[in-house]
Amino acid sequence: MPLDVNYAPGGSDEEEEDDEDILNDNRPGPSSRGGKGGSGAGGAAKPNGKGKDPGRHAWEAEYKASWDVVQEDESGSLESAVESLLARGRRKRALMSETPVRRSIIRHLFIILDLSESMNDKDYRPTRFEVILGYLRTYVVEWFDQNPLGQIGIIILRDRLSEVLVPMGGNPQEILSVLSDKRRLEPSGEPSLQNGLVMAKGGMSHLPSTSSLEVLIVFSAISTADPDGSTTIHTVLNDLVTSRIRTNIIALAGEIKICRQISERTGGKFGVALDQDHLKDLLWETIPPPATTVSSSAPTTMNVRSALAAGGKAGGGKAPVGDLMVMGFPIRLPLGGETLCACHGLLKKGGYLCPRCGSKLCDVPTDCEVCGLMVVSSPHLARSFWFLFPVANYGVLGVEDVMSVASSETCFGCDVEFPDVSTIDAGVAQVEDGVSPTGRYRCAKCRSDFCADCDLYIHDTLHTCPGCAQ
Amino acid sequence: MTTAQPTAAEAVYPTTTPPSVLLVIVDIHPLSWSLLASPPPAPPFPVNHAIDLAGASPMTLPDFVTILMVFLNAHLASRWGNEVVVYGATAGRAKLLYPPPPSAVAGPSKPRPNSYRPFQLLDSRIEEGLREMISEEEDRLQSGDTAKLNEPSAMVSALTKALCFINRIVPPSNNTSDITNPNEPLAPGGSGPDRPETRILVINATPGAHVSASSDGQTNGDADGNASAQPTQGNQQRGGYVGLMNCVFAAQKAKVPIDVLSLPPPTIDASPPIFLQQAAHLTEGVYWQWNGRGGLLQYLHAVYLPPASLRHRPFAVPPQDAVGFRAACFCHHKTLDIGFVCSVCLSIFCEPRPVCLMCKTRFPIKSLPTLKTLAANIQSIPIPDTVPPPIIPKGVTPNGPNSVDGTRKGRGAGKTGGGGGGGRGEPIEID
Repeated sequence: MPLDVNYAPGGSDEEEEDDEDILNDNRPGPSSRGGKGGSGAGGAAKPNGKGKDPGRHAWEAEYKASWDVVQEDESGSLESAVESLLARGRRKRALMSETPVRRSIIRHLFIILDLSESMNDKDYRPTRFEVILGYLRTYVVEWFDQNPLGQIGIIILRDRLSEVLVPMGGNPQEILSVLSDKRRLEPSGEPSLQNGLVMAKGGMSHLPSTSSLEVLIVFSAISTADPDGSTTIHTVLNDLVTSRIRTNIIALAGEIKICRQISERTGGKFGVALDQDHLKDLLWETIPPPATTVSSSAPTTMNVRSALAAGGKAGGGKAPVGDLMVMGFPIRLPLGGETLCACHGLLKKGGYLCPRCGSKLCDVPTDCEVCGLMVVSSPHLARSFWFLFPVANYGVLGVEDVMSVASSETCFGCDVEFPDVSTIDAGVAQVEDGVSPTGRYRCAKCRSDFCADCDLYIHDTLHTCPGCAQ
Repeated sequence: MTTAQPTAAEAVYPTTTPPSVLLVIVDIHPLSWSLLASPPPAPPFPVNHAIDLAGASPMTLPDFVTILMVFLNAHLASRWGNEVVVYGATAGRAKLLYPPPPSAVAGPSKPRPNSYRPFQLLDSRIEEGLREMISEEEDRLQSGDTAKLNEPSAMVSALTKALCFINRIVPPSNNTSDITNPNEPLAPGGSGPDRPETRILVINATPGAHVSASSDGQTNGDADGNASAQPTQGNQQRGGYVGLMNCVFAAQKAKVPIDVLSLPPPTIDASPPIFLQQAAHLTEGVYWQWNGRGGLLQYLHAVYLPPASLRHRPFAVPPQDAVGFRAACFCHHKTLDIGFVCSVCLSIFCEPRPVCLMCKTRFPIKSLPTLKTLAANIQSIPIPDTVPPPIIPKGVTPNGPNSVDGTRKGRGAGKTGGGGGGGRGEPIEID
């Protein structure tokens, strides 16, 4: 089968480079079909992966005797030592969270997942397919956590076709349920990068230019089998550049010329995963919005749109320019009768009503088709409010504090009883690494005491102090 | 709301369900209950004859507590291992009523021979706790601490306490282990056979149109003062809305549905408490507004007794109303249809401003006049009845013209709010 006959490099300037690629091509790739892939060369050049400190490998790390850290207590038991270690670790995580965080306005992401036969390779355990699916499931959850207004769609490539597995949407549960159905995702055939990109571009063509359009490709094969015809992958690439779709590509097998080209020209990142951990790092790097925090004048955030306007270069050291946007908060209709929607002109159940013109829209966030108002659902915005009203870290209560001031016997959050102060012997009772010897943590503002579990939960997840909320 | 269209795979009923823990938050705000106990007469011109013919019947707190106890006992009885946790929320305070702290376990003075002991424990302890709370309220009234009495119920505090409690008894399925071990199947629902199901039932008695007593002027000045203050100071006092939303997201993460039963019938409360409604909608809980005509125990049993895993199959939930996804602005706590959002920190304001109050970003001065004219011209179009109210027998379903009517009224208030005028109060904050 002429799987790469169609792959004709567009410009003459690229032919030279391709020649180089072919020179490299006699190296064996990890995939059995690696042989003649036009640009799928360099398959074995694994250490090309970017983004990780290359100088040091896991086996070169300093040897550390973990048992040196643990010390027995008087009774010879390790229990207390282990417990305090655990508490210390959790506490450290809790205390870290006061660093500024960036935030995006609206991101639209298509994940293009290569489901060619090469996904069955066993260089990741148990297979690439299983590993990727597992990572993607956590990735999606994490991504929605950090990008409240974002939407994700998934496209799969197999048998030289591309297929929209999940249309663009903002519901992680839907994506997760699809991703956990392995039977639907059986890898087979060869991937077609071009088909996938065309489909992603088509799927995002209707989106407003204010949102950040992105594609994340997880590419496992080292060749692409694209259709015959006048459009080549290079014309598709030009289209991507003009429509400002940022394309990140993570290759599992090796560096592929066309992939690198696509990601570089569209302002994305290209990476080759060295191992599972590196793969995860590469994936997780794409979660935060594609802009960097700068400038002390902007306290916590950075406007993504201004970064995008700067040409998709991440980290253009410019102070963020704010903008006051008019947004409408719609009314969600119950799933009653079917009515015509303004965006597609189709009869549909449910939907949202634009608060300014009253036209029915299928989904939010979007721009109203009739009056152009940006219609968002307010919970989407509210998801990021905890950045604005963070809960201050709780102070540690020592034994003296508890003894001197009358304090409550139970945790204010979960109403569990605190350990009795009188049983704590003075030797252990020093405040150390932010771990309270009495198991009590006090909010400076409302003077309520909390247990360690609640302290962590409130700062990690809840972001609202039960005492201050009164 | 994902109304489960039963697929072939789901068509099998679950053979067993995990034990479930029901956390009830009862609003016992004295003012709200006095309203409920003496409801205003029905409007002289009923909107819909089929539904609005009868007026609301009075409901007093003791009556309701009796009903609630029967419901809670039914929950305890429906499966071995079921548990009940009750919080009371009153003006600006929330407290755990049941279970009692382990140190205070004395048990009822003498066990009655003819009653199941857990029922008796629960009933006596809840009654005791309620009496304690109400006597504390009376003390506050005696001591002249009336400012606090006008605050709305501390729903957010109760919700945070409930979530902390859930976090303790059902530790999260370890995000860390999920990430480090991606091959572990991410079970939706996180339900093993031994992992208890938790859900929160919020019983709201405070009318949604309740104007919070925290004076607008004070909060306004506070907002301005906050502009100069560090945002890290954790200003939660404005945060009825923010706090509730944070609770909602935490509950979403823990997959805990928040069911809401709103007691004030439409005659008292034309506009539903939209933020609680949003909470129920977002966590896939059930929102239901009592029509004020008795039958509460039946409704509680029919709507709120089945645990979340049985909600859609074999049972059914009442159809949910239209949900207004409106937001409260940060500057005046108004409820908005159309707001002005800072593109940097996503804070919501009800009027155009040159500088963001939260992150101090300067907005382009050029666009300010256009935005101002825009703000002046915001006129909410009354939402047409796109979904015709179903013809239903009296008092069977919660939605219908009442809610649509309420939505309309709410929108009117939102409009004046958006125009910058000090319009009539909307549910400003629920806490």
